[in-house]
Amino acid sequence: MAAADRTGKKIQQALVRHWQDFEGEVSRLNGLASIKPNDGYRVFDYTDTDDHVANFQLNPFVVNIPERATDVTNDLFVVIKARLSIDRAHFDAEGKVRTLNFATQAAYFRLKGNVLNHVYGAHYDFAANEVGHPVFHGQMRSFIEFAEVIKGGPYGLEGAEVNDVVSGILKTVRLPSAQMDVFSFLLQLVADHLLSSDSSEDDKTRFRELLERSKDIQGLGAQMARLQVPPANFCYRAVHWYPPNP
Amino acid sequence: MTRNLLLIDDTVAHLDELDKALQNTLGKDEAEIRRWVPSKGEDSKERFEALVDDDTELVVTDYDLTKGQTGLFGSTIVAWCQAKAVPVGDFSRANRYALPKEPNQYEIRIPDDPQEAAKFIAGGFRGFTRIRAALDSNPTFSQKKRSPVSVLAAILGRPSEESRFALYGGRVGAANSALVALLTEPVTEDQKRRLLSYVVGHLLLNVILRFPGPLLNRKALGAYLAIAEAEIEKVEKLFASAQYNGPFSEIEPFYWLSDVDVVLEGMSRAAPSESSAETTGQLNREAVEAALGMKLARHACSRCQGLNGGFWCPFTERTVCQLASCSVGSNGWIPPGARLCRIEKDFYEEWAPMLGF
Repeated sequence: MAAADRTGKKIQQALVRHWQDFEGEVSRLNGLASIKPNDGYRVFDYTDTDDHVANFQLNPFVVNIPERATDVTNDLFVVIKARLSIDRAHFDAEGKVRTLNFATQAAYFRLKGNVLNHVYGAHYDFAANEVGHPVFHGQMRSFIEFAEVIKGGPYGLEGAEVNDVVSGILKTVRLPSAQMDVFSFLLQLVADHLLSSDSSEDDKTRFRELLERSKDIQGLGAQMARLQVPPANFCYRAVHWYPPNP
Repeated sequence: MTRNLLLIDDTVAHLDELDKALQNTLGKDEAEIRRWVPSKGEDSKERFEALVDDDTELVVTDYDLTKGQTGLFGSTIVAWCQAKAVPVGDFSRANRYALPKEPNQYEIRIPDDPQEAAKFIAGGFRGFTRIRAALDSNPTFSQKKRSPVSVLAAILGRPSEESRFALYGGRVGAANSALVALLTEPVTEDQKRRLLSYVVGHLLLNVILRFPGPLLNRKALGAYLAIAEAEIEKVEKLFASAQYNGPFSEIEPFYWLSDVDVVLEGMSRAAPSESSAETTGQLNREAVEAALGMKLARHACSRCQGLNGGFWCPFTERTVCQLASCSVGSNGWIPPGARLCRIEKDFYEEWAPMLGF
């Protein structure tokens, strides 16, 4: 727990509420889908703060979803661990949650029989001004150790075997990406696994609502001068993601 | 056409008492109060069908009707009403523990004290009437809205709360299987609106208002502010702008959480920015105390001596906080939308195997 302060606790409350709303929407979109633990206060730890930033550690949680929106089984388990840094002054002035930093680790496991196959793993990061680092990027790697989170969860998989399919993958590829903070990542999970072209109009509407609600969390692109110039705004090619003079 | 409500009791004196209390609450032109004292030898179903019609807004029955007729229980009346999609409430004076503590979604639990019952019944009657009137005057609600929660949000004039109401879920079939049978039969537009009023009314009264989330009652407001129940009276006026005035608001005061937060936000500007608060409740209490310029008595939690708070346990009916030593998050018995509800740890540890986590 950080030194207690009113603003920090209110930011934590805002994050937990956003997370809980998201968790509820996921269950609405697909009855098979769940997020555990579903208690946001068990997930968001307020770790420390200074005059400008409130830092939060997100304890590992599991999203259990179907691999495809049309599947009738929920055999995909995604373990997520993350951290978020939020702009305190902006929250005080505007009442809005604006990210100043983030890191997201995600490990996908496909359950087949009694085997948890680790089929995808990546961490998503932010580097403002580092040589050769795109401002927002993802790097694939194995997070096989995250299988323990699933085995310790309420899924009856304590005795499951674990098989690492990601091990050995090239870790040095920094794939330029969007700002994949934990809420962006959850949005991606919904889009990838709970929606399809055959989804009902209701489901598509819910997703639109989820997109709208997700705009309550603001990104840190505004800090990046090189992303604010017209060529970057209109072009979107990766060239704008790299610092020209690190 | 005057709407009617039906009171059923096998003890005439009890029926008289409730009838009188209700007449003092509801105007003659507002409701026709029908009475039924089941007696030996009569055909109960036939009598029920004669008394309950399309204008019956509410049926209220004693749980044990066997004094009048062997084998007739309130649960039979409840089942008949559910099959016709007529709101029904039950109570038990003689043996209140005979009733399950948690009624199902389409069964309203009525207080057993006659005065309290009259207030509750009148509020319930008026609530269902208001919902039905809103549907009658806005035909598009039953034709174009995509779910009961979107209809509810429209009736309450709070479209932005739709997604929060939606988290209360509620599968129609699981809650009242008779409804599914009704839905498969051809219905007129009027019958459709009646059914929708039934579904929306119960969703609001029996789920959303019972489990604090977007709307909270006085006790939950006290829990949110982490103050003693006796202190709620002192702070109520501060939150007058957050008061809910929709259907069923006459049963007891309710508040919009989003509006309560707006009020608290204004108050917190007067509160010191440095605080040792670890919980939502303490932060909120500090804000209210700053606005009032006085300290408020804390609630009666033995773990923190009332320091923390911010949430309400609907099972133990006590204030709890988000700390792991005090409570756990929502479970199968609490709708996901009930964001101010958490389960008190001691209760959870005793009953967790049965609560369906």
